[in-house]
Amino acid sequence: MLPSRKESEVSGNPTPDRPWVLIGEGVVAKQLGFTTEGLGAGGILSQARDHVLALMGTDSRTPTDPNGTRYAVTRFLEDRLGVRYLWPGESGKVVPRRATIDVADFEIRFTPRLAQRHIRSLGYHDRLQIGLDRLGFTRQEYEAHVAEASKTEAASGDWFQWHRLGGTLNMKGGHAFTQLWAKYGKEHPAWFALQPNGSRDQSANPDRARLCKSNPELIAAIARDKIEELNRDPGLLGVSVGPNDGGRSSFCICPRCEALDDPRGREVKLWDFTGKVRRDFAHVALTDRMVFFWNGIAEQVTKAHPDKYLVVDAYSAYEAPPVSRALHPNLVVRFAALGYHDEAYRQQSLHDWDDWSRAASRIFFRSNLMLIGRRTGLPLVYVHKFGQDFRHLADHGMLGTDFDACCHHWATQGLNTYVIARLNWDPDQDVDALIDDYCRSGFGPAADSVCRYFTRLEALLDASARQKPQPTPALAVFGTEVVNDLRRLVEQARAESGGDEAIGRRLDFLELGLNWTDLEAQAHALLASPAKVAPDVAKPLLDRRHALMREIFQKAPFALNVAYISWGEDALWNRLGYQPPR
Amino acid sequence: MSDPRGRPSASSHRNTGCCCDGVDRQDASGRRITRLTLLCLTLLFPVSVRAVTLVADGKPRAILVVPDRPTTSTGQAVRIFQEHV
Repeated sequence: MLPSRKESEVSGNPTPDRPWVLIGEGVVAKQLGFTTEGLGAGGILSQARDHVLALMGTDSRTPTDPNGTRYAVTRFLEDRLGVRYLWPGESGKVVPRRATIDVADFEIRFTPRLAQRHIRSLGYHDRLQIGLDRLGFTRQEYEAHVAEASKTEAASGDWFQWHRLGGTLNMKGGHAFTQLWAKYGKEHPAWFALQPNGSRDQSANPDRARLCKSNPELIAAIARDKIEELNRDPGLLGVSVGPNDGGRSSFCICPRCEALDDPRGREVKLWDFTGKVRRDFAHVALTDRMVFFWNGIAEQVTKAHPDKYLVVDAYSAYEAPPVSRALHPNLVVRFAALGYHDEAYRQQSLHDWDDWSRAASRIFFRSNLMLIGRRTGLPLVYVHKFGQDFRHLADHGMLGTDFDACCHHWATQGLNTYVIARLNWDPDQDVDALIDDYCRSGFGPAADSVCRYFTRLEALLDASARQKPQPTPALAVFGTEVVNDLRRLVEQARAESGGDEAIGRRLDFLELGLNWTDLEAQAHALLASPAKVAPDVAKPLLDRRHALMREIFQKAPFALNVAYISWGEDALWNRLGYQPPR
Repeated sequence: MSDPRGRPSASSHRNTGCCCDGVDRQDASGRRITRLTLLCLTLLFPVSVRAVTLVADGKPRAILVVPDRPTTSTGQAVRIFQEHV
């Protein structure tokens, strides 16, 4: 380990026999002419010259992204020493060992294009507890296994930190009106959405209450609330006025709200739960009424806070760009569309991004695309499409990102997460080069076979996304023949690995994901005609599936987040009359 | 608090090693030096030098120099660097 000295403890000059590594920008760095001046938030200087290696970031000079020095170090370790962190835990860590480490002159000055680079990391929550209960584990066991699996021999920090995710736009986004029914419901029921049955009652789902967006008193009340929120936290740059999500209440059907919709808008499907059965019905997109509502709030809030922003959502029935209303300049759009299950949806989303980015003065990517396969954990790989699309977004106004979410299915979807993280740092990187590097760093002589493995997976999702109607990926994509092809690639990679233990462990990790995929696909196939499935067919298969989930939980919790899968999936097997072992 | 679009965002990568600008040049005596010749010279006499030997034959040679009052980021960076080099 290289010794560390404080600046005040060193004297003289660096020499070939005693070079200096300056970490962080201090007095000595300035004296020697190393500076981060001119770099933006999260920026790094990485430079070697005159027997000095300087690794430093803008740090506290840019409080919205104060971790530049850490970024400089992890990037140096990657670029110059070949260190990689493919997935959390030791098996994902690649640390080449060298007896001699020389660093030639170089200089990198870099400021990340995206001011906010965020991938949410799914942690313990109530849904996970449902899965844990089904699998027979406790929260304490979950936390202990994850903590143990996260350890690496050389301290890496969090995987997300290693990959230089960070920075903040300093704006609150999200569903903003979860407390509104509790606050105003009794006194002002007319402020809430008129339902098809004539009621405005939101008490069944108060935290998902729908509002009467045309009501001027409601708009004024929300504006007052937002002004107070900004008064309370003057450091915030923006606060949310994004609508509530989901729930059984429908959007307001009062004539004044309906009149705000532009009849030229895209058709969307709305829902009505007020009858005996759910009724879905066609409607024009609600974006123009939303813009009316948001603009009304913005006009009032900006009188008190002209330099602050209001964060709104392009999402749900208001995902389509507005037709006739212009957005107030202090509105910031969180764009949630784009996904890889359906090529037509992808293309529409990209078109929508272009329109929204022209309509809004500020826009960022609040993406749900990582949620594909979250319930199944299947290996749905989309890295090339993502790379292409992400660069497009970055070149068309994207200020930052907020990905919902990494679900920790690393053995099957880890390559996606890796590429997403790397492109967040620098969207201009070449995706082929990233994948090639991932395979070569992690799998050495077996890299070509592993690359083919991922290419095959990506082709499967591509083919599925082009089909109409959309199949369930587990049923249509991962049949026995496909799984056997994938197995042959893993076996070939193992033969090529030359018995290298670290590579072998990484192949074990991928193979665990494939074993899971095989069982999960077989189990889903049974759901096609549950009545025709004999119990002596379903039970052994689902018992094996359950046993594999328990094994993964205990031995490789980062391979697949089985507690989350259990929450998402395990109620399905009731259709087959299956009860898991106790 | 700055406008998020108002921040400096230029990124640059600069290698300080010798490189050819793609244009044939003439020396003092007027003889043309082709790109190929420049390339050969660059390979024979690389401008890029070994600036820093961090570790030699498994033994630490460099020392880390850290500000007297390091930021949180610097503290994390030092630990990560030390454990990987």
